[in-house]
Amino acid sequence: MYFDEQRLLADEITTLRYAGRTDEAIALCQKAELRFPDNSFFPKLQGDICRQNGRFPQAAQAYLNMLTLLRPHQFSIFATAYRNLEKSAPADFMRSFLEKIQDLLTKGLLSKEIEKDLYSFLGAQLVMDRDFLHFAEQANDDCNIHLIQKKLEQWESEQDIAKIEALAAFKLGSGKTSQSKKIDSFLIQKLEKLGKYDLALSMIEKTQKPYQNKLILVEILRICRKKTDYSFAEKELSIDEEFIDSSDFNLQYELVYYFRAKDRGEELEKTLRRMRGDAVSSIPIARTLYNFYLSLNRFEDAQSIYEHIQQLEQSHAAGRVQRKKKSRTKSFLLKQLESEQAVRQRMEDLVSDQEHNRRMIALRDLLKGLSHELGQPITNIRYAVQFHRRKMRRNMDTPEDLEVLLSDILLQTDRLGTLLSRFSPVVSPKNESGEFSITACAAKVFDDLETRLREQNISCQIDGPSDLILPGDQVQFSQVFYNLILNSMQAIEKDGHIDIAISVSAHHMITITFTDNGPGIPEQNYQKIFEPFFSTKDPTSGNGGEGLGLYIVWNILKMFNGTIRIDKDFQTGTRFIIQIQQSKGGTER
Amino acid sequence: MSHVLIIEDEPATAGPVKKSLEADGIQADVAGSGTAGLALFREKTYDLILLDLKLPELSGEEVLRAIRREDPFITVIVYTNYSDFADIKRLTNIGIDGYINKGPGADLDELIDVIEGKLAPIDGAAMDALFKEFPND
Repeated sequence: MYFDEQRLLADEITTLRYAGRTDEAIALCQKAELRFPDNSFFPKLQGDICRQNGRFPQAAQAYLNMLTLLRPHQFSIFATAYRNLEKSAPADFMRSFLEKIQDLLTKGLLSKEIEKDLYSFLGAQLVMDRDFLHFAEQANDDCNIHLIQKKLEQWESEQDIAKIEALAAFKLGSGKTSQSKKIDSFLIQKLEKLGKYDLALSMIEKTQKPYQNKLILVEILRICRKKTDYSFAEKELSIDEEFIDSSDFNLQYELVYYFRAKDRGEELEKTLRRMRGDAVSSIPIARTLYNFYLSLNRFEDAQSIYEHIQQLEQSHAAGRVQRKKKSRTKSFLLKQLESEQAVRQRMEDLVSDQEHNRRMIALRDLLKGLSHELGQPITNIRYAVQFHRRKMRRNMDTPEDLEVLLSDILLQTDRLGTLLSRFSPVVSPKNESGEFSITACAAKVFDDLETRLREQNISCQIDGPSDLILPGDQVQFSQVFYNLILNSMQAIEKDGHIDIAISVSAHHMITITFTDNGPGIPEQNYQKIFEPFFSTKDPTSGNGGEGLGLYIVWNILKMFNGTIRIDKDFQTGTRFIIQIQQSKGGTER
Repeated sequence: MSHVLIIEDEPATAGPVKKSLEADGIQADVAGSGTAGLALFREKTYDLILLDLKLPELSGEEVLRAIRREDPFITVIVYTNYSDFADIKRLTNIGIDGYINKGPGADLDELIDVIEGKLAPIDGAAMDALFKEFPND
């Protein structure tokens, strides 16, 4: 039977190969290829053997042969072979190999599927064909813009995305761009539309500088927003006061998203205020602003903008129908009143829905993190046990192995125990009806940690009135200071200082500023530090490092009606700003 | 000989996987972070990458994206101990060849079988798979 014969041949070749009888192995491959000319497996084997023995031309020929025989879903076999060859063969050899692949393509010897895979695998390295090269040259001159646009549209509608990417890659690789600004910006828009954000940004960087045009600024921010990564915008643009001042509506729109993503409250406020100025006469801008306020849960601002929109609509309507009967006006006002109430109700529902959603998301994140953290030691225990079982089945186990296994398991259960005990401050407040002085609470924590602080030579300072009293459980609140100080101590390592400043404003807003002079937190982590199980420390180290400290801080503060944020402008260490609304019932509806 | 890259930050997880593969004649390297994993991936040629999703520095998803930008065809198996449908959908769209659960259902034997099944046709298990594709004509 053919099947058995193939298998026997393959076994025989493999035996020869690993016995170092290379020539015989290759000869047998060739024999097998003649016997089974449709089987891609033998050329692949021949290629591998030749490559490993430095016979690159012969390997390349075998791989090409294999390529023509591969079935559509088997392209990865060629891809691995190509990568392997690339890592051992010299560069100019690879160029000639590429030409030969190119040759197969031009001769139409490959199936459509394999062709497509080749393009997406080798991309711009394959200069496709002469037509493509010619076309790419044309795309360097804006005179040809209509032709290029048509072609790009055609590729897009034919789902030939690899060609669009190849054109971009070709342009990125070539030096000429100054003559094709329009074509380039069209190509960038296409790439954005197709979700090829990195390529689009590379094109922008190469072809659109200096960014004089507002549209390009909007485009950069928009692509970054879609990518949920603003690092390119931050590298290329300086988004400062001047930038906000000079912005138009489209830019303001993107800036709102940007400042929100970066948690830059002041600039966000400034941008919203500017939009508000423009919203005075424009209904669309006012509506956008209304939606922003709603999504920010700024109920009162949204309401006032809503009233403003109504006024605008009313005056527009009044402009259109100046001569109408009085009764109509009356019913219009009535309707307006009703709809206003409906809107308020809807907004209240919306806000409470959002609050509910946020809680659900927080809970989901926590459970997700918790199942991951629990899953990790469970995996380790299971793998350790299963690994031992595999050894036992092969009679390869020793008593020492068993000893190692048992201590591994105990280590993992310790980890589970530590994890659970970290949750107790959140779960069980002891004295909810008590009250305490914040300053005294902070001082107590410093006292408790005094020995360790002294060992690390860290000095501490607390500034604040001693009569600032909060209702609640002091032990629970002290976890806020504990976790922040422990984080600082880990960050500082040796020699440093920690300052806590406590103050209260006329509006009963308590502000606690917590500052250390450690290495600070990298900006890209600002968003994540309060998420449960976000950690930069080694989780296997035992004491802490699970990424729960700041999450616990955040949760406790929430119970005390407080917030915590990181001060982004503080450069010489880390500064957290905690704010707690002191008295309840002061807010008005 | 097949060559596997394990990108996993937990030595206690990576160890048994590496040793089991080596016992079956498969070479395996371990990278403890996404960055280290990408560096190895660029330096050497692997037949398969086993990728944990939760990693320090770069996330597993970011690593996967970077790998796919450079090599759309290398076999990548993702294994993780928690993920929902949306995660899997996103990963599938970036391009993965296999998905394995860790955590309470973690099964080393299954993991090794899947890896060996996916490896290049030179290895025993995968060679059988290849010959199944070439039935008696």
